[in-house]
Formats: sequence, structure tokens, C-alpha cells
Amino acid sequence: MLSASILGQGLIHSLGSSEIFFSLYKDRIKENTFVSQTSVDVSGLSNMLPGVSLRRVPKYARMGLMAALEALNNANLPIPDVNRLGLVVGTAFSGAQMNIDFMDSILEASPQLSSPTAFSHAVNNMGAGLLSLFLNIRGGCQTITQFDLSFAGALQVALLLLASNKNDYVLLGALDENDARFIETCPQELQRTPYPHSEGAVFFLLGKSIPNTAQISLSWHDTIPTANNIVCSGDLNKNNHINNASFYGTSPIAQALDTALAVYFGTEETLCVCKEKNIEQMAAINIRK
Amino acid sequence: MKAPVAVTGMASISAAGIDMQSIWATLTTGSNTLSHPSILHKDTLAYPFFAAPIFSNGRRDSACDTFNLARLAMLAALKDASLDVSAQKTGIVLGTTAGSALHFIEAYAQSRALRIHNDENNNGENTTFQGNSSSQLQSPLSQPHDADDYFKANLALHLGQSFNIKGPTITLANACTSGADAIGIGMELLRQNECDYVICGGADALSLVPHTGFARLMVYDEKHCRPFDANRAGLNLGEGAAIMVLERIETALARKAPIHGLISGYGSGSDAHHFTAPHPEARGLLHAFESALSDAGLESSQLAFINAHGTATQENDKIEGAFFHKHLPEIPVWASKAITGHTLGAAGALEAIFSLLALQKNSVPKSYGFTEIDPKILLSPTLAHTEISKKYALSTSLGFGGGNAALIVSTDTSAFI
Repeated sequence: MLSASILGQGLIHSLGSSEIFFSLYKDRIKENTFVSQTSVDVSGLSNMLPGVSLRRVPKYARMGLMAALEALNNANLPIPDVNRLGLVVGTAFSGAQMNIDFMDSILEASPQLSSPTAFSHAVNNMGAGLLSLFLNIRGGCQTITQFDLSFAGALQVALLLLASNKNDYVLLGALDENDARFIETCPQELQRTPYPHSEGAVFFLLGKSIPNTAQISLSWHDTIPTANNIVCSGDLNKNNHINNASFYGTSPIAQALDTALAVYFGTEETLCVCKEKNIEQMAAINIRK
Repeated sequence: MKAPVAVTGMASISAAGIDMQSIWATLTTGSNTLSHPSILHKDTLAYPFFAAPIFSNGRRDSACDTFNLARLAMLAALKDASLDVSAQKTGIVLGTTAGSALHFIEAYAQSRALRIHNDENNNGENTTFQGNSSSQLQSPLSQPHDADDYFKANLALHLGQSFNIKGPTITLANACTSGADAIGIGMELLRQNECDYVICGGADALSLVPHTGFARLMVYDEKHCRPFDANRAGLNLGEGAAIMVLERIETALARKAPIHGLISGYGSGSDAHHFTAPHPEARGLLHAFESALSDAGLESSQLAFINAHGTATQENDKIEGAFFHKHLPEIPVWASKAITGHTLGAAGALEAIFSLLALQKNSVPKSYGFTEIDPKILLSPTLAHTEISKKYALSTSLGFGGGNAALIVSTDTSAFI
């Protein structure tokens, strides 16, 4: 089984920064009191990158930039060869707001007057494209989009890029935003848990396996694998499995959030299992510390 | 050099045809016609496109059209490979540009109309729609399955489920490099022993939203596109699906599977320059190319030809053409999008299949649409059918977001068979 070392992680979420997120999790003071559709505060990004360069960057990509920069800083590594650094992003719905904005522009103004900028920012790889541009990542840039299993698919690609020696490091992320217009179009399909929707980004800097670091690996299953410490997400939340949705809400980045929690709080080994609705297959991410 | 993998099944659906014989005939005769965009939707802008010849019974105008394209190609590829994947250690890697996200407007229009209706009733305000050409879209005309289509049309997840595939499942959405990336990632799944078989490729059907988007970017030719030509005026969109069955060579030999060719190398590079424009020195493409060449253990002199991305947009062709002229001046360049249009997420996979076909035939077709060298590029793609004897071809893809992918395909099986 392929595995990699987690060298750094960063997170931004409706609940707040990674510091707040982990602190709240520790205290569990937010349990069952999640605020509906809280928007992520991305104002801190202007302290990390020049404000003028961010002028046309949508919130979706700003969330990704904040989490990615934190993961890189957290790793505290010398600046890697940019041609050997890859980027892999898992996103269920990509830039949902820009996508809906583009459709609004067609519906309100007609196709002839629809917004080309909104279209170019509505394509699924907009987030990864902008991140590679801002972070000067040149060793390949991949976007995986398969709803709740997007992060698992992204991890699979990241592990392959490292194992094949195409990259020395891979910045792996999960990134999704809320849009009320999108949610009201398909509320039943999007409501994976009884809890309100949340949004955010989780990034990890992965490197080839080295001792004394948290290890991440992935396996695919059609039944829930057995392990001592399992956390479930996606369509598994409603079947009485242990899950964290009451803490972080309903989100397609749930498996990545579980992974971050396992890296931060986990003991020896945690299995983060996720299943997409109406799909038998599930992905199990193993974190070993 | 890393081990190549065998292509034991391949199938594609595009305006070029649906079987290899008719596809080769179309590629070599250039006999193809553009379709009127009104067959996509009555409100489409007046830019013609290359339609996939499978929607005679009508379109869903949803992501299910992409799903159905991919499913038909996958059925044909599996039949070609004589493979039942359900009991095997199989993975699936499929690329798409529009994915589900850009085929959602009917469902959204219905929801939006309801929201506006409710707002009017709640606020007592007389909110009216602006414009009139898309008024039909704003009425609650959607069928109840529209939103559901969105969630049933994720290519790898749902096709994997349809075919009982239980291994690694990856839907790539890297814009126009998606199909090539899917094949490259599929090859790595085999090299790293994550699977014994991989279904990979790409698919995209067109509908109002992606067609409108590309038209509004002002990169669309109203007539037949002219890749690399001095008078090119933009792309023609197309739609299609291209699927390969890959396996390790020893697996293919053990089960006496037909080997159509090999995937020998893959590279990917990001421009990190501009979101929609390629880097002026094509640095991402250079990285992808060098990585693919190293992956295959080749020298560039071993390449028989290049199948270029060649969209016929000003920027793509200027940068890509200048790159070939500078780095690979002796190698014939074939641009095939005047036959199929730009099939977006399918393009990289479709052109990998075209490249294998050309290697099998020892002939590179003429680049239709090209007549006059652009002095800013100085590249002349193939002006006539060209005989070749070498066994390797490079296929390049460039995409939104600064992505670049390079695939090296081969028919050099002499060392293995």
C-alpha cells in the first residue's frame, strides 16, 4: 500500500482558523450548536499575500490559499524546487458561487451578455489553477471532483505522484464553499447529515515516507473495514457510526477535516472512512502516528 | 525508463466517428461537418460545434449526456479488451472539463424561479426578469430528475458502480488536459501495483452553459477552425468520449489480450503564470514534455510525430507552435481538432487514441484547416499525409489554469512480444 509522510497541515473553516478549530474540538463547546451556513473569514489572507494581487481572486480560492500557505509554513521546510512540487486538490462542487453567478448571468442577461469572467472562474480546476499561480507550483496541478470522495481521490493521485518520483512533495488539499442558491436547488441531495452546511479548506504538505512523521495511506472498500479507531463521514453519518458532523457540520470536505483531526489529536492509528451517497464504494484514509 | 503499460482496449465517440475504421477514414479525408448549435438549446449563441453522433433520440441537457457518452465508449473499450472487470482488481480514472457543474442550469433555473416568485410574494415587490431571450429558461420547466442527474453523473464514481469496479476511483477535472492526465494517472496506478487493470480516458458532452462560456470568452470561430494557421480565428467546440483499457504487459500477454499499443510516458507541468493564458515561453509544457520523455526513457529524435493540442485559438497556437518550432523542429506536427472540434475533457484521451491509430497505420494525416504559416509561429503542421517509420508519438494538452500534459504512446512492442 502506498503511503506518504505528512509534513505540514493547514485549515480554514466556518468555525474559524485551524487554531480555533482544534481548540473548539478539544473543548467540544460547539457541539450541536453549529451556526447555520457560516461564511469563512478570509480577511487574514491580505496579511499573507499582497492585497493588490488578490483583487480578482474569489473567496473559494482565498480559502484554499490560506490553508495551503499554513500547511507550507507549518512544514517549516526549505523552499522546495518548484518543478518538483505538485498540487492536488479535491473539491466536490468547485467554485459553486462563481458557477451560480455564471448561470445567473445567462438567466438574467441572456447568453449574449453572460459573464466570461464568471465562466472562467466556474471551471472545476479554478482553485488549483489559482493556487499554483500564487504559490508558484510548477510540478503539475490536478483537480479531483467526485463529491464526498473528492479528497480520497486527490490523496490517491498525490500518493502516485510521490511514489512515481514525479514529485518530491505534493500539496494536497480539500476545498469547498457554500452557496445558498446552490443548496436550495438540491437540498435533499446535499444534506448528508442533520447538521447545517459548513465550508472551508484543509491542506497537507506530503513528502515521501520518512520516520517520525505521521503517515497517510489509502484503501478502497465496499464494506466498512475493521479497525480500533474509525471515524466516518459522507453517507455513513446516518448509520450510527462515529462521526464528527455534529462538530463541523455537513461538508464535502468532511473526510479531510477528519484527517486533520486525526493528525492533530489522534493516537497511534485512525481510519477515516467516507462513502458517497448511492455509491457502494468507500475510501478509508489511514493515519498512523 | 519506467515500464510502459499495454493498451488492450480502446474506443472513442466523436464527430470523427464511433469505430476505428470510420474514425481513420474521417481523419484522413477530413470529411466532416459542423452542427448548428440550436440542437443543444434554442438559446445558444450562433457558433457551430462538432456533435457526437449518439444523441439521435434527444439530449438530456444535463451531465447525464456526458455520462452516457462515457458509458458507451467504456462498453466498447471493454469489449475490445475482452475483459470483464467486475471480478478483477480494477481502477477507473476519467477526466472531464464540464463535469457535472456546468450542466446544471435547468435545475437551477427552476429553483431560481421559485425563489424569485417567493421573494415577490413575500416582499410585495414587482420583481421582473431582465432580458427576454432566455425567458423560457426562467420558467419552472425542469423535470424533477434534473438535480438528481447532477449527482448521478459523476463519471468515475457512477461508471465504476455501473461496472462493479471496486478499486481506485478518480474523476479528474483539469480542464482541457483532463483526458491526457487520466491516462497518465492510470498508467501510474498499474506501475505502482495499485491495480491490475485500469479504465481511463475522458468525456464531455456539450450543453448551453459550456457552449455559452467558451463563446463569451471570444475564442470561438464561427466557421471551421484553422489550427496554427495565420488566419485562425478561434476554436470549434466538440463533444466526445475516449476510453482505454490499460494493463501491465505481462498481464496482457498472460491472458492473450490484443495489444493495440503502449503508454510509455506521461508528464505534467503548471505554468504558474496566468489563469487563462499560457506562459510565453511555455515553461509548463516544457516541464511536462521533458518529464514524459524521461518517463519513457526516450530521446526526442525517436518521436515519429506530435499530435498537438492545436485549438486554433490565438494564444494556444502561438505558444504551443513556437514551442514545437524551437524545441522539436524536425518532428512532424499533426493538428486534428478541425475534425473533431475541441472535445475538452475528452480531447487528450481522444488524441492519444488517434496517435496510436496513426502509429499503427505508419502514417500521419494531413492537418485539416491549415493553409498559411503564421509568421509569429513559423510552424507548418502536416500539409499532407506523411509516411512514418518510428514507433513513438507525443500528444500534448494545455488547459485553463495553466495546466500542461504530455503523453507518449507507442507501438514498439518488439521488446515484449
